[in-house]
Amino acid sequence: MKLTGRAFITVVAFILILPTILLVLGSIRTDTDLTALPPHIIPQGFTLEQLARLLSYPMGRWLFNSVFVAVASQLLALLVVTTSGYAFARKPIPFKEKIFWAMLASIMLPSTVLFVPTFVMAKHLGLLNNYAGLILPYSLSISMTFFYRQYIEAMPEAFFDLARLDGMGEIGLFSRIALPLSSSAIATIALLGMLSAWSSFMWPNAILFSPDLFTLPVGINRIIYSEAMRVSKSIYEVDFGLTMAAAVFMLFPMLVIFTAFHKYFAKGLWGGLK
Amino acid sequence: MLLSRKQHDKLVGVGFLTPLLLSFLTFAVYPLASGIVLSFFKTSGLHSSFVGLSNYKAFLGDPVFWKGVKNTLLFTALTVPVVSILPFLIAASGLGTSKRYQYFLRFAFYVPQLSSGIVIFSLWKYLFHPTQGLINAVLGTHIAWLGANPWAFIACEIVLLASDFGAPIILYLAKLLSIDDSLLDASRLDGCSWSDTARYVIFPLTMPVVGYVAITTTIATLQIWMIPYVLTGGGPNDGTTTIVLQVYQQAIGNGRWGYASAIALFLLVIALVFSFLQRGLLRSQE
Repeated sequence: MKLTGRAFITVVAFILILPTILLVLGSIRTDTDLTALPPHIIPQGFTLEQLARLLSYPMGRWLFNSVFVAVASQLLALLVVTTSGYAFARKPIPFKEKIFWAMLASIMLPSTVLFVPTFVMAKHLGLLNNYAGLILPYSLSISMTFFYRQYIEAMPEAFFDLARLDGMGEIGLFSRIALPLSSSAIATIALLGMLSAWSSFMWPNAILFSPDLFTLPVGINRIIYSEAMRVSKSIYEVDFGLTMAAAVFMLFPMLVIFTAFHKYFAKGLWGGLK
Repeated sequence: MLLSRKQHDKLVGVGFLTPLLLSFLTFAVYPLASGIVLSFFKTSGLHSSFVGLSNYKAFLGDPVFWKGVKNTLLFTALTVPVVSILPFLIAASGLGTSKRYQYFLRFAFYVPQLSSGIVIFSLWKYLFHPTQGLINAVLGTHIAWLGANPWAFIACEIVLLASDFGAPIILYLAKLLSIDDSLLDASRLDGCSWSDTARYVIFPLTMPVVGYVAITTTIATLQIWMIPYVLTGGGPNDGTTTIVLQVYQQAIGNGRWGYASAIALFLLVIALVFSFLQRGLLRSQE
């Protein structure tokens, strides 16, 4: 029973990871190898030509934009999530539960409903085609606020009482008791948020026009199609070699972060559901 | 002026909550309200004029829109049951294996999510290529996957399932591992068979997570657009167009913000109906 279960789960894991393996293998293949007929899975030889082609685009600039947006947006998100989660957990606030449930209900709102009016608002506020427009919307993260509230609520009140007796002020209680004691929750929130900012496409693709400001997904999406469009207009035409090199390029930084912090990923998902 | 301890606390609380309140008003409340207003306006360039219900009339009378509704609902109906239940079985079969093995599984399921969807979907496009694609090569077929119906829809559904699979497995595995061993031991001592334990102990404890996955997957699948956007552009013959793909195309492609807002609000109604139905369903099973 256990053995069949194990075989089953390994097969599924293999199927799920297969595109990633193909991707890595594909990124070191030549164009003729990639388009050979009939197609084959094992690369015939090794080349860095795809990577070189990729690096002829401003990948460094886009990488910087992506990293900058991921980090800045999560610093902002953390500021908002920790202060509000702390307030919800520890402070008497007028209409607290009503406000909280209204916010929780907004999670049910398909983000598409907000997409168009937010775009129009961003246009009027001058948030199109700049970093601020990319970063500010990340300040709203209700599910993470919910998660952080639960985490702070689980802390013993005695910690706060003792510090208060020692004469610690409100800011101190938050920054010197609540924040350090919730560092693993904070790491989880930051990592999950960074992952979503890193892969985000719909919003950045809508608001960015200058190639200088593109994040990786937006830039990559443009080049893999524009390269192919020069040749043909068929729906199949994507520059596959370039796509695979780009995918590996995007995967790598996150893979390093994930490997270093994987316990937080698992813990966060787990803790958030208790 | 001296404040009482309680008033002081309230003031501090409101102060700490202010950043979130501002953000909530700016990025949720205001857009929702202005989206409703916008749906009654026609926009072109910088000008907008009130047109009453004509945006609603326009899309309700558009056969392409209804194809989008049909495809969206079909994607949702095919995806939600599979994505809610199959990962549960996979996670359950991973129970009782070694720690190292569980790490490997998490890794295998997580890696595909670390890149960007837009890039991974482009890779699928390669796999589905009629002549150079590995899928036809492995199956020994000559299907024009993305260029003919119903294959284009099937291809999108396969990609959708493959990319929605990983996260629920990790959620279920985490929940299953969090079940106290003593609970399982107790049920065994009480003479429960393995299937009894699964039915009376494990399943009731995991049910809320199944509900969570079902609801979030529903909301996410109702908004599917990127997969057809990359793979087929909504074609052929609107065979893979979806509600949100049309919102995106109308808003960003054509600048018809009022029209796009009206479609998005229609989606909101569908999403609300679905979440009420699912909540009722989950509650009746408890």
